[in-house]
Amino acid sequence: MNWSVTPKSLLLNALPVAAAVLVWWAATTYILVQPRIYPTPQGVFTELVRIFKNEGPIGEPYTHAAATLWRLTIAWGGGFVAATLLGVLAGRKKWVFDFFSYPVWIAMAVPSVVWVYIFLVVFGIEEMVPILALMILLAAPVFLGTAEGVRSTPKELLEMCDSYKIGTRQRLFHFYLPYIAPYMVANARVSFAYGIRIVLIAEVIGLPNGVGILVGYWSDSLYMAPIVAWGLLLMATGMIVDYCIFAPLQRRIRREAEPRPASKRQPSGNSRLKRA
Amino acid sequence: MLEMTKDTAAAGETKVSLKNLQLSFPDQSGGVKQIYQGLDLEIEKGSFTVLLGPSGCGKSTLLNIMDGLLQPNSADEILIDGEDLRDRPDLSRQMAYVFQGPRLLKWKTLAENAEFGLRGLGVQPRDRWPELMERYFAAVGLSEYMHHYPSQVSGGMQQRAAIVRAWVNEPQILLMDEPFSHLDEITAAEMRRILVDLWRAEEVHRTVVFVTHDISEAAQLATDIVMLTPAPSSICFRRKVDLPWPRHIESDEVMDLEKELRKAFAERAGVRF
Ligand SMILES: Nc1ncnc2c1ncn2[C@@H]1O[C@H](COP(=O)(O)OP(=O)(O)OP(=O)(O)O)[C@@H](O)[C@H]1O
Ligand SMILES: [Mg+2]
Repeated sequence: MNWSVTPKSLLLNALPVAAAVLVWWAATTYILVQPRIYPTPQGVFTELVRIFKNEGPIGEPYTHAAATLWRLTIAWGGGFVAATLLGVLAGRKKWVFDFFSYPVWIAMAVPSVVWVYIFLVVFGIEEMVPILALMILLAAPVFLGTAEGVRSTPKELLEMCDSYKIGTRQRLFHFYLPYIAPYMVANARVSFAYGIRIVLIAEVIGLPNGVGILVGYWSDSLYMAPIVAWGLLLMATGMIVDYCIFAPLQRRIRREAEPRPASKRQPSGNSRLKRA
Repeated sequence: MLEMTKDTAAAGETKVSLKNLQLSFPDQSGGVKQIYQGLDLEIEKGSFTVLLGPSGCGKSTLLNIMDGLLQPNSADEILIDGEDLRDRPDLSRQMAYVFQGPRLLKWKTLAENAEFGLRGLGVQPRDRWPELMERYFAAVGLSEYMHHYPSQVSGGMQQRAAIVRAWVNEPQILLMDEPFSHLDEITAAEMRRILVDLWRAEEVHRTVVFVTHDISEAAQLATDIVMLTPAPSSICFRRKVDLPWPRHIESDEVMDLEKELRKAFAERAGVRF
């Protein structure tokens, strides 16, 4: 199957978006005429321009955006690395898995909002709060995915590593991580998208800055256009990260795993015949 | 082609010696399955020893014990060059294993797979690695494909790369577990030829322990044939083979040897092929 980007696929991607904008415009112009609550596309566009000009009511939008992105990156990066390493360990040693299995289920089952409140009580209004809440939430599924991936490594390959006396470092970086790379990219993709959503919730509840605060502010003022504008921006960020980092990574891994035409000549005719 | 006299192993010296090996596994019905009840086995240095036995008799398990991957329930000795493997686990670094399947890492090229093994067994000095790899990839006719991924080459080529992964370490003992059994007969015959050429090309022959359940393969390769009974297995027949290579399957000597082995199997192990 060919998954590359062509003019035709771009057009197909853009079509429903264009249709949605049209419906949106028609609805807010003719039916739901109440621009504060139901912002028009033009209204949202104006807000986007204001954001890009770094104009806003409570501090510079750029500073807020930077705070949010920083939190997201730290929490996601830290959670991902820690969960992956622990996951590898848990996939190898049953007692590590058993040790973490309840905490992981609790981390996954308790809603992020509750975590934010718990940490607020423990730490007060601190930078740590949303970061920790995010880390826990993002780390849990990554941990499970990694442990599962490591546990599914074939016995034959493990025996090969044992026989060739492959050391710990070598095993981690050249065996386990490449083996679970497809799981990891999928994990990273999903958890990053998830993280964008959760970081805002954490900010609305527990922090003095960040995009979540702006959204809270506009929501209190019952003015929706900037909220939609920020929503679009976050979506765009998610898409850009996905498109520029995760998608190429996943493509590369898939290419490595699948047979592909050799760059040099194919096995010579006689070995072909032998296989037949 | 090398002189025939070189092909006879330097007689006498023992490379591997197993004494009174005991091993059992739990079976599905809750009982135990005895694999060895006091098995003794000696392997001569520089020999091409073929372990011949029916499926399930414990041939792979024997190689795993020699490689230190598995501990028997008990054994009087597991000696490599006169030292016990259980006291000196590092002795298994002189061994390299070729498995029934290639067992290559699919995200590494054939050369990188070979390097993986070199790094693991810690072959020194490192600057020899490129030269070693080039030499042995050339020896099995894979020079052109060194930088291909396993998925880009045929099954036979993958198995050749697995042989290179073992051979580049220049191990003192090569453990080979039915390395050609899943290849078609024509490819397998070519691989046997390559293997024997590799083995004979060296001044001092490496010790090869080659497992198979294929009588004809044993007759084509071995300097020593060791025949195992079904589990609990013991050695029921053993002989030296002093035939020159290449051995043609249709030649009278090889056919006679096969006949003899078949007969020994039927009489002593109660297995008919
Ligand atoms: N880890 C294990 N647990 C339980 N039983 C085992 C284990 N490993 C091997 N066995 C049993 O030990 C016996 C010998 O196994 P082994 O793989 O050594 O046989 P083999 O001679 O190599 O057979 P084949 O020719 O089919 O490869 C078999 O009956 C197998 O079921
Ligand atoms: Mg076997």
